Amino acid sequence: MPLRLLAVAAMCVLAGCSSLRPYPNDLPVKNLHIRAATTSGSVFSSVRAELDVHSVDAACQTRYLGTMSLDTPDVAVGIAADRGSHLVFHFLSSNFLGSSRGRISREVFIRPQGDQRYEIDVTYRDDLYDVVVRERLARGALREVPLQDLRACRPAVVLPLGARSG
Amino acid sequence: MRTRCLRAVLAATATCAVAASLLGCGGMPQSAEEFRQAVPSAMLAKTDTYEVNRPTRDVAATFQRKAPECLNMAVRTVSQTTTSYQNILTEYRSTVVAGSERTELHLQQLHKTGVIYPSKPPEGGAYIIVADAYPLPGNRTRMQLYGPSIGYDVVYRAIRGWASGDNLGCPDLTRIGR
Repeated sequence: MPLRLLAVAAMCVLAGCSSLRPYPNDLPVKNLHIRAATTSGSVFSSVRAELDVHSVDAACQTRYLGTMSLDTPDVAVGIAADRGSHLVFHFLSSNFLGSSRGRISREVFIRPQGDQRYEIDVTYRDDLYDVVVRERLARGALREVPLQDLRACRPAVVLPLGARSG
Repeated sequence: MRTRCLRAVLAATATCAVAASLLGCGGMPQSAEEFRQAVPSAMLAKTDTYEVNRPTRDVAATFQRKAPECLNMAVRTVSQTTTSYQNILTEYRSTVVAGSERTELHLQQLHKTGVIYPSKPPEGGAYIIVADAYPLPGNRTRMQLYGPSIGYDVVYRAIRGWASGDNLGCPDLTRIGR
């Protein structure tokens, strides 16, 4: 039995046992254009950014879809249009030799319309972080969108059958 | 490296040191006003003053938008060396009070694990930073800050950015004490 447990543990390590999985990003329309710039400002520490994508159903329940690394400066992401999405931007910091780790996150609830496109700037500099969402309007103009978290989601009201008379 | 470790230890215990030195005769400050009065004579605490080129109503509006967004959260920090392991869960809570004479930003900090308080902290946690914005002639604002002298530079810089409007970024609260 100990050998079997050891084998399972070894497989876990090799497989990187983790609840994280890559976001498939397989929707044909990429409606989010994310620009990420992260710097720790020190050779003794590092910072990287990640994005968790969750779908949000009519009852405002979330379902984790996957995680994307924001290691490259420009990332095009497709999320479902005409329904809610919960985006969680993580900033993961660690110092020299990993003796200290931190994770701080910014949540964004967004419900893009079919033809809406968003530009998102994700920055971490000098221990200050920011996520700015701008909607691309007609003729290329950009309008900053106030950030909302999941509390902005309103469950769809389902009327009981008896209330639909008339 | 040894100096950096020492700084980290000092900063990590700044809250407790400030809290302990603020105890005086009446215990830990239970309000922002008690905190203001206690800081000037407290160990590892400081006051700071600067002016920004913005009207106080704009500073207040930025505080009201950014403080809940950036400061109301729980943060877990994990640190380990060959001989120690720290896992601290800390809750932060901000309050913005906009008055006719000044606008106040209070930051409270409550360690849920890993720290023993010398006396009962106030509701919401120990006061750790108080920033007051006073109107000046010419649509300018004078900022008066009270808080720890080490370990909280990232929060001071964020507040300065909000006050001046130059940087609306949030402080990485996991970097407190680093």
